[in-house]
Amino acid sequence: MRRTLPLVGLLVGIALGLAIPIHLSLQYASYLSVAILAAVDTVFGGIKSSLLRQFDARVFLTGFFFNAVLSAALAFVGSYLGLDLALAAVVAFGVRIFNNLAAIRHQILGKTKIASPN
Amino acid sequence: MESASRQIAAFTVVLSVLGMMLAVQYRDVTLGGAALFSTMPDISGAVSRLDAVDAENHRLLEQTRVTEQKINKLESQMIQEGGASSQALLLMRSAALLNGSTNVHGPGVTLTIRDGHLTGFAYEQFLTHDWDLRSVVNELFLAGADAVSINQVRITMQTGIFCIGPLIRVGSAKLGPPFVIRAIGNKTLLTDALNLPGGVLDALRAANRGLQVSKPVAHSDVQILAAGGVG
Repeated sequence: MRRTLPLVGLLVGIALGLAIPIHLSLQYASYLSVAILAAVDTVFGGIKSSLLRQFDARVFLTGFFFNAVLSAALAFVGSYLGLDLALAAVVAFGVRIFNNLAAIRHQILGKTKIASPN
Repeated sequence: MESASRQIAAFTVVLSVLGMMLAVQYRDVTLGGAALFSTMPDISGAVSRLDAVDAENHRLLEQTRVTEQKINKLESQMIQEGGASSQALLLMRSAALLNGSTNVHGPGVTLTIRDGHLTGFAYEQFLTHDWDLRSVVNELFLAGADAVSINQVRITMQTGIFCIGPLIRVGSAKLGPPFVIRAIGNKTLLTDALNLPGGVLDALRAANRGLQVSKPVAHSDVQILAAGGVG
């Protein structure tokens, strides 16, 4: 039962976000999308490390907020330097998300079906 | 067990924040604007850059204004001192008056033309038209006005006055009623020219037009800005 708590949190967050009329100014919308990408990456990283039994709540929480803020800040600075750093964040986090997903898949498959070859 | 509950708590916090971010972004994207910006991130900085350019523009305009004031002061000094250069400067000043590149103030007249009311029989004519303003402006220049403006848009030799829909384009400005016409020159001459029986104002006041045309009012000091509002 307690394992569903994160899912409930996600739903509550979505409901809150839809209910509270927060509107980002158009010029900042792209920074939020980069921050979301960083956040999703951190979540998948957390799932992976929890499957690998290497989970550390402090690393996870600080990583989540730090990555989100830093990537948005980088994209913001980039827009003033004429450099599309948002694109760099999209590529970097995109690659990491797929790596994490692959690791999660391997971990789950390895546990449930295939015995580890090593 | 302690570690497991910490893990669940961490995930709950993170996922609720992520959910909120997703919801906010989703709503902004469905509103339309954000989607455009996320696919064209270059535009996201354009608004702030435009603001910066605007501010820089204002600063430069202000600088131009201050510099022109200084130049004016120096020129006035030179004219007072006399000599050949003062003659050239006087010529230059009259040329500047013609091309509208300086602010002008002095005695003159003002006049206001408003659209009339729809009366049923003159539904096209109750609007002020370009030729109405042109006739007044031409009359003022013929009477020797040094500078004329409509709603503080300076009329120079190159300023066109044309109807665009219900508005009137004067130069590059789009103006709507009331049209306040200012003219600088001999105020008695200008007033008399406008008040000529059967003259331009009488034609505008004709019953089938229904325009509200004020009497020309003489002032001892009328301000007219330079063309483009600089100077």
